[in-house]
Amino acid sequence: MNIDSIKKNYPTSGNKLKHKPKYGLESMKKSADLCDIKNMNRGYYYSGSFTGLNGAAAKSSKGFLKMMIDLCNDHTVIAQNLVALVLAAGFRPLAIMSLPGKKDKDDKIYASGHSIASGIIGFGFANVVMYPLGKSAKKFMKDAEKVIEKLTPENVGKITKEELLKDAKFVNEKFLNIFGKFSKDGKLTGIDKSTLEKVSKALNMAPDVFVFGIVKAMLTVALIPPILKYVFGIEKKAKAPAAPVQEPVQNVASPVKPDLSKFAGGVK
Amino acid sequence: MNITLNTNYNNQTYRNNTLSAGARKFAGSAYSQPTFTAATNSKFLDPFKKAVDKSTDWLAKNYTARLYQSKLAKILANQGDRLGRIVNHMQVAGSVIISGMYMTQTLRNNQLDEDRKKTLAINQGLTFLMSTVGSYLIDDALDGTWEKNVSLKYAKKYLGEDGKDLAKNFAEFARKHKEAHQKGIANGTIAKGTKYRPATVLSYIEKHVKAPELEKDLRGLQILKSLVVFGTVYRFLSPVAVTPIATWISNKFVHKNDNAEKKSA
Repeated sequence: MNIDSIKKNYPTSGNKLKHKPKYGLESMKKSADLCDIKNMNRGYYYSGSFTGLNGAAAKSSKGFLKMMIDLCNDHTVIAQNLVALVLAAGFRPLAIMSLPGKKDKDDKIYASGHSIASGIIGFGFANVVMYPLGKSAKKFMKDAEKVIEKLTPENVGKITKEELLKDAKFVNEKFLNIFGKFSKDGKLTGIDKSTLEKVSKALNMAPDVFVFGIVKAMLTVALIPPILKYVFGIEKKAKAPAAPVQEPVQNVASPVKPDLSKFAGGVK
Repeated sequence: MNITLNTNYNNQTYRNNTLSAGARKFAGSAYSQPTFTAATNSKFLDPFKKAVDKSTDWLAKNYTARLYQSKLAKILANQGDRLGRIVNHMQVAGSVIISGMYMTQTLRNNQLDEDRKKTLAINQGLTFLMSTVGSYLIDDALDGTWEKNVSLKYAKKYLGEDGKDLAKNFAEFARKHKEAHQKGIANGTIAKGTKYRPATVLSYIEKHVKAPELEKDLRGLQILKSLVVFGTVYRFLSPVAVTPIATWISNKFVHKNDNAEKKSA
């Protein structure tokens, strides 16, 4: 990133300014071109405070929304796991740990560890495995877009399938058969873009849901001990060899109480 | 990364500031602007970028193209309106698999006795059901609010001057959409019991404005809503709500069993 300049110099001594100068940064119609939406920059008088969607802060906040929108469109799985990461590794452990009840503190720590692990694994997996798949899907869709653009209102019914697919890199005739709209006499009249986009969403999310779901769950379980160790400072104790039972009367039915938080419902 | 801070007073900025507004106007008003340009042509990363490009090309040809032009794609394409909320359905499918796996894990666990296994497995199943129903209900309930407060505002900002009547026009469009649904039900053109879904800003833009970039953004916003709603319910609300309930159920169950054992002893 290259950043050059900016220092606006208002006279601070000599002339006392009764009115703010018209040539000041704040009165520039384009607001130093920091905001793309021109109608948002109508030279609000600068009063030293943030004025709505004017300036770089607006750009960055709008940028985040736009970034999320683009991520949702192009890499839905990554967006999904980013939302899950914020919730599972941030809000959920905080909420679980702040629940009342001191007795089951270990259970809560385990549940929090599990939650953090699942958030990290999900997001990491989406970035490493699903990103290339999302990128390849984008390339395919770009190729499909080129084919769709060739079909203009002027040449509908006249252009042959071969001509349409002439420069296509990935798209073939099957694509036209699946997503094409045909007249009664079998001529291609258009491509159902809406259906294509929906099918694309389903197929992009499918590997993460159907193929990697179990793998992610297994990796999550494997990541819990290091998280318990490094985040909560709890290390799994080695099983004591035939430990003497201190309170033989209690818990006769279940000498080893299983960690029940492992079995609580909900997507981990 | 190069950062150049130009603090020289004898620069264009200073000259512009010292000129009168009128003089500056005639002078072309070329005041210095901050420029943020990403260093996109890093040669160091070139081999890596090329490798990624090649591998994604290979994936597009051998994986994506085959999948998108397969029988599965054809089956999905023939689903019509059922594809409308596909992102929601895919999230539910993911939850079915994960919850199913945890239920199986619980039922196979040798540390737990038979009754406890069943109780916990039922608890997991019920949590999944509640989460799913809750997610769909919240998602549906938020439709109108989301369109009004997020999609409409976003479209208005995007369109600028062209969008000054957008709210009014969209309200009219939504009213007609509702009337058409009611008429359709009365005429029999729409099957009875078909759920009414409020008009979306996206459908209005698609029909009356035609702004492909905005349409894409609005689609993205709908996906974002779905991800936030389903994510919040599955990943936050239900696990947090279920933690004390699960602990209470299991403790009560264990306690009950222990007491029974004590009595029988």
